[in-house]
Amino acid sequence: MVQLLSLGERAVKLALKWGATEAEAYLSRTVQNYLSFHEKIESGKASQLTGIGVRAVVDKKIGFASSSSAESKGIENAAKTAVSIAKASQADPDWPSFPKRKGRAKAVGTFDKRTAEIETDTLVRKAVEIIDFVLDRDSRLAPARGSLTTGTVTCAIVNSHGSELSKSGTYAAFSIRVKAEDAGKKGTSDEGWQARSWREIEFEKLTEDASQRAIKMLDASPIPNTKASVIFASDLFAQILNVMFTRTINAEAVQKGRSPWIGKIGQQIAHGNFDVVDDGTMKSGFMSWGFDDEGVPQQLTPVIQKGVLKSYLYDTYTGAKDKIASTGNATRRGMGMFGLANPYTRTPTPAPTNFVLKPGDAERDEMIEETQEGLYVVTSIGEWLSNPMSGMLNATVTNAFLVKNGELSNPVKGVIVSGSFFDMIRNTIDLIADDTRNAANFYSPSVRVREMSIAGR
Amino acid sequence: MEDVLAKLVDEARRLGASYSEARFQEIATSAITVENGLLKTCESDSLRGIGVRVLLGGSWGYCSSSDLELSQLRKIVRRAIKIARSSRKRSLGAKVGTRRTIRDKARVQTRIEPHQVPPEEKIRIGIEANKAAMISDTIKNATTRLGTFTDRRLFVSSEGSNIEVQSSMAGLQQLSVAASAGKMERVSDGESQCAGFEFIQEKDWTKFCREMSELATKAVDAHMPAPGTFEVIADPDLIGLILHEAFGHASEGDLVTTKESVLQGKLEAALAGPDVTIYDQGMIEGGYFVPYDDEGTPKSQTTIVENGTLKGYLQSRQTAMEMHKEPTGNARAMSFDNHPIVRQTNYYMKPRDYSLEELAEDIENGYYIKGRGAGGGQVDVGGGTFTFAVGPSFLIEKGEIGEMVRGTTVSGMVLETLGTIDAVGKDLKISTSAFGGCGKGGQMARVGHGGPHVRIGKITLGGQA
Repeated sequence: MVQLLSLGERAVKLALKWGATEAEAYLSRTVQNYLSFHEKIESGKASQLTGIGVRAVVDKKIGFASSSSAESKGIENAAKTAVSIAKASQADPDWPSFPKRKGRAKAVGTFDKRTAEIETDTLVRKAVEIIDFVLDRDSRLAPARGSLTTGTVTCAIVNSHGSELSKSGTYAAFSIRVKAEDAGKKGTSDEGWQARSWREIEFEKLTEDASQRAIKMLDASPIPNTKASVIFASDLFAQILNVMFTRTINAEAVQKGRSPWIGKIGQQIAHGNFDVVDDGTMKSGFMSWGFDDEGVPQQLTPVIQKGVLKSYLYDTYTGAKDKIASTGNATRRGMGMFGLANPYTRTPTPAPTNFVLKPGDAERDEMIEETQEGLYVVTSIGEWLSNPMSGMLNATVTNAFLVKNGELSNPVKGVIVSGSFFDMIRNTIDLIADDTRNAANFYSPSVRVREMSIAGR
Repeated sequence: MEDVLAKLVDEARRLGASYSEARFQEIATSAITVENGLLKTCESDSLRGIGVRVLLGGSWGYCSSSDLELSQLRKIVRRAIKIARSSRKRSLGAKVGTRRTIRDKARVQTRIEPHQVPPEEKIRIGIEANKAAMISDTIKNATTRLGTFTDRRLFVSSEGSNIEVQSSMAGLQQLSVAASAGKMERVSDGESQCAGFEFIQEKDWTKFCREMSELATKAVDAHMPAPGTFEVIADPDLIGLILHEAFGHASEGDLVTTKESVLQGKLEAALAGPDVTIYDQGMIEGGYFVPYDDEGTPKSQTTIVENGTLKGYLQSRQTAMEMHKEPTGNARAMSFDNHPIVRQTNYYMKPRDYSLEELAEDIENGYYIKGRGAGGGQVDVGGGTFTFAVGPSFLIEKGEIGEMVRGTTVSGMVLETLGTIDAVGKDLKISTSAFGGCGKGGQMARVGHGGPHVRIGKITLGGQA
């Protein structure tokens, strides 16, 4: 960590020496263990990746360059290239400066020592347990595909305004697909979990859930076109929140004209039972950190309160443009332009930290009991293809059950559930459960939508 | 660097590996983003590292590092060996067979190396294209991305093979957002080619970006299609995506040997009409450049479906051994910090003889679904359900292509959809993208796909009644 900081200091010094008026270095080091398996161990992998990304500013002209080489030559190249790009670039009249606000918020549960120390042999032992669990449970079942991941990310941020920060966090993830086969019929079911620490993951429960459901899915089929109530399972709805808000609730999208939430601050955009916060410091939150990816303390930001849109998510640049402080949402996550996912290859943009839909008071089972006719959707594919601009939500169902008179009945797959997400949050989500789960950094309970289109046979 | 890789491979053998390979990769990228007439970012990334894969007692071990000091690299060999040893608890029993030694170099031919073009030139082209997309007040956002990359990979194996592959790409992507009467719509598409910067210089991007905004402007006022199952014509931009999702993934050998895929056990089965022939091919005009895969296997043309009959699967060395087939050159890794897994390369359908008008003629009530502005797809290979997004499309009524409808989501069943293809067009277009690719097991791979216009008897559209 000390080493990353001193490398960062060197990069900033060099950039200033070569003509930058301001400079920032972001360094990250990711150490990861990964194991994939089916009935056998398929492949184990250990990787470590270090890199630096340098932002250089020359008279409000900005350049960025990154390098995976954290030796002195790589640092030099990144700094030099960033400065030369900045010089060739065009001035951005809105450029404020790199953050001058320092310090960190208190974020607990972001680093777990045990998780950081896990090596592949632990993953192998766990995989064997899971494989045996599925195979012993029912002769029709087998693990079709599973993976176990643990990792540690360390990063350092140094800027020419005296910022010098570093942080370290752990993560652990588990995914399992169980297949069932019986008399020529096939069924599959997926479960997964992502957390900050290995011990948070309930391996056996998740494997059991997937196993039970795979057997039920043996008889799954599409249903005819219809309209019905739809209950979305918690982690699926968390994923839908991700699709519908990540690209549009950030201030950049709003300022640049690519968000349906433009001009909606203070307006009722959702039903009064709909409360959303972006909680950058929640305990053990998947994206909880003391500070964001440009060194601003993370915080709790109310986004929707009683259905009223309260705030967009800001980094320093977009905040300055709206004359407000950053909400600590600068991130370098996600896939870059060429599929490079390493944070140091990205420039910061505002995005959710832990995006949390407040749970309601219904139990999920009650929600099903109170449904006369509907579809309980547990997993889908392609929901991420939905359109956050038009609000059109489409999810192709892979694991679902018909609900008849308050009880789960026939298994369903291969239908498309469609509707306007904007209408859903305004009018048609009539029940919110209390069973919050996360899909990465999105947290949601299960919800019931009064009526949606179901395209089937 | 070859010497270093050879040392690592030897070290692995000395430590007990029956087979080992080392890969060095070096990527250089440049990219600019222009939004609403203003330069947003201009950047350059360079990434390099080494990965070592060992086979020991039928188990694989993989370890990689971006730190290229020899002492560090010896550590990754030991780590890979350790991983393979501990994985023997449930050994895969993997075998790779034997093969002749290959020594070769292959590269994408370029006339203008991207890194020789000054950033000013890239910025000028990007801004000009972006401004052309701002056609009216209806367009609320225009974002243009211009990018180039060079990806050099060196492969050395314990069998003595030594292969260098260098691919280069250039491309431009346009996103246009239109707003009208309180509604918004986004349309995005790009064009890329395995080439140098000449591909950017020689094309009229202002026209391309303007067209994208015109499409967004029309789409925002269009109706949603009605939900349900319909007869459709898919255009060449879309048919590739359909094949990739509806069939390509299910034909990947690693999903077949584990019996996960619904295509397992279906070799020689008639799964489609006699007009349907599908290939996976490493090098083809318009597609991505895969002369060798990341196990050093030459990639040529693999026949997956011939005249409606399933003829083969995509194979790595290991899955080929398990199925008693030949490797097909489909073991690909996203980057040096990933092990190769079975992936598609350029997956496409062979053209036949129908024109678009002839395909539409017999459709009473259906859709002409288009790929431009689509956004990818996904498949559940075990359950057999696939889905993908389509761009702004058109209604077909009584054989005539009619009014535009908004883009939506479409889905079908792997084993059914291909069987309902009853007519195949005579055109052929294959495309790829510099900006993204296909995801599997956490790895992104660049792929190409395409085909002719194709009539599909039954596909389900999501929509609004």
